[in-house]
Amino acid sequence: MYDGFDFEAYLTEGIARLTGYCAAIVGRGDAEDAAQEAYLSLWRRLDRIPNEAAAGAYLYRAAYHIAVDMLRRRKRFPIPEMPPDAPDTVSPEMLEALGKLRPEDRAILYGRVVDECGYDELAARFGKNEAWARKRYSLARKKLAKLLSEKRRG
Amino acid sequence: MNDREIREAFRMLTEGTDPAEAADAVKKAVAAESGAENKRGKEKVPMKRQIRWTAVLAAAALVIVLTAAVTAAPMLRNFLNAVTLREDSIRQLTEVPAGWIGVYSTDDLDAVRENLRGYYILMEDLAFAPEDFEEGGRYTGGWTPIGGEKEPFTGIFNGNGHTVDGLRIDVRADEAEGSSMLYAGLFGYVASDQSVETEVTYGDDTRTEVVEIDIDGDGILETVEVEPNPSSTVIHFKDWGVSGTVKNLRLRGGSLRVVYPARVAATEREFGSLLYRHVRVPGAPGASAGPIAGYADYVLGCSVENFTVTAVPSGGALIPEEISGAERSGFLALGVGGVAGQAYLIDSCFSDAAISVLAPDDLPAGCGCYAGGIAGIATACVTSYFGGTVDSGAGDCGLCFIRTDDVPRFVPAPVMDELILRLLFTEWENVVTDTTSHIAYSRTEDFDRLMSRARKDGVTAETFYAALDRERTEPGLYGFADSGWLACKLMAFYRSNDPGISDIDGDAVQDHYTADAEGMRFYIFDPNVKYREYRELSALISAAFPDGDFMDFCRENNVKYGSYYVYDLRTDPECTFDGFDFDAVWIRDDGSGLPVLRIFR
Repeated sequence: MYDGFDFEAYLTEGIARLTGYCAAIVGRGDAEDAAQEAYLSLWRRLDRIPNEAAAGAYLYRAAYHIAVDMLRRRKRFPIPEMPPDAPDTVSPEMLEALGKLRPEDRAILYGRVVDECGYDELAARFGKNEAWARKRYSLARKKLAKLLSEKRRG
Repeated sequence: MNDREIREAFRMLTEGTDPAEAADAVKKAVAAESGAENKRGKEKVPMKRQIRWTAVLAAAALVIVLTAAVTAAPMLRNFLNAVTLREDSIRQLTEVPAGWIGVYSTDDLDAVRENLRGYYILMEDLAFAPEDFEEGGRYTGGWTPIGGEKEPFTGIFNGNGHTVDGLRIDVRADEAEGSSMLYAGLFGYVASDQSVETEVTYGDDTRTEVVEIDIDGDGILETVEVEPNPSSTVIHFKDWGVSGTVKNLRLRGGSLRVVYPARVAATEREFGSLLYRHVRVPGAPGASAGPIAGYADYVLGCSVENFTVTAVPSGGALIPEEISGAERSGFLALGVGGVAGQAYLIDSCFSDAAISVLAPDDLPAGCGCYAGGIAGIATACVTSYFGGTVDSGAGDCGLCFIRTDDVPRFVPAPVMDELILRLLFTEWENVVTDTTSHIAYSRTEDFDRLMSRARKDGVTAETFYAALDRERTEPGLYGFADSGWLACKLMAFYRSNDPGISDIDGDAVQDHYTADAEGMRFYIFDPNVKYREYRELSALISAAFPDGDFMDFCRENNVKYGSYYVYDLRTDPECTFDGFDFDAVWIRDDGSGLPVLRIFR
């Protein structure tokens, strides 16, 4: 990594965003562990990473794989109970539908809708190209819509 | 469904985390690792990382910090695959375990072929000299592969982190006897122990006997012949999956050369009628070659370094030109790999072999030639690396060609549940077109709706018989009255097993999973299944997953089936080795940058 790169500042600045991303994949219970492991993995490889853009891409790729491995041990995504003060825009059916998505689909939806990534940044998170990201995002939305429709039909 | 709904839902799923705590844990772990590196006297971390905080280096503080790091990061120890869950996959054993046979010399290695069922452990590095393979040498003409198709090696060979240098294998398939495939490597053919303990009734007397099962040509069980026929279906599996393994072995600086015959048949037409004239080049119908084994059920934690693998066709014409109107058809099969020619499971292996497959100038139709950096053909290839070269005129299948017509030997309950549910709502029919007939599978019209309903009702592999009964008393509940037969057929190929039953060797099961298999409920492939039925099972799995994503589904459920986390260092030399707990099993070699299995350090 280039001279002057401040790993601590990089960590502090980005950990909240990465933890949210991990939570979308594996659930909030393991999200901190996943994010933490991803940053450690990045730190161990800093000598081989040329710039911050590459660091970000590596970080999110590593976090995705780590979170997916954790999710495999859990077998299913943990859906929290709806609190009494939950906003009207959130329905139990939507939570369940998100939980039933494949981890990759959840990660892509979260990246685009919550992190507001452009397709180039989204693609970099998976080591793919922009066309792939557009297609996967479109498919993920369709799947979510279908799951939601099934849930609402009962 | 709009973005706001999705965003709010995600926020609800992800709120409650404490990123600041995670950041603190990272800082502590970094400090601990920095301190540990300094203690080992390695080069200080370059200042360009600009670690601003001061590492606590005092011994007592280091212990406290390490403890805190482990506590804060419990998941660090959990990303282990089957290879690492056993202690002997990480560290060399210094004593020969009870019941095992120590190998200390090339003579001892050669003697393995005298007892193909033994459990062997390599206790020394071995080295062959070039003159060993020359005229008058101990292994004139090259090493003879251990075990063949008819008499495979069914034991375990534990390389124990040791190296065999200078092995040379030179096999001419056109000189092979009989009509069997030729298997070439250190081992020719390595297969799981096919012994089965079963209850056998002789009149009024019932006793348990070990029955040996004849092995079909490619390792699939054909029949169980017991005289008299057993009257009980209680089967205890013995060493199923553990044996038939080569592990923790490094081969270095050797060569493997296979001359394979191009064997074809020609059909000659004359005056409107067919005359069949077979033109054959004598020898085996094909070859399977790899440094570790021509075929092996399990190759775990092995490394092949600085090896050349060459497959060349034997001389002679494929088709005599003088047969006019001859139609070519070929039945050549060739599998060549940098670790094994063919395998069931390759896990945590490395190869940088230089592989060269020369194909005949005109490869006849129907020939299957597979050349891959790790294996020619495998059912599962996971967490492995290839850094060599593949030069194949028959086509390069990358790291390995994954067989999609194989069946999983151990199926965890969630995968079996999914298979059963899908088959309940899949229809089949015999389709006859002109002179051919085959079975076609299609999903019922309301497949998605019925699947959803059955899931909601808790129909699983375990309970689907009850659902079938309900269907009989309440017709139309699911609408699968006829299709339920497919699910029944699938279940007939497996035996269920609950966790804690000691008949099954835990290690045997663990080889198949990335998750901890202890406490897992699974189904075992019944060794009594005949070859023809095996193919039916494969067709049922394809019918249940018509989009070809069964392997993806297995992977999502921790089953090692298919190819994943397999890295091709030719196209990705800067591979960051992410995706699994690389550091528990591998290390980066300081010199070359290539991954090295820890046990070889």
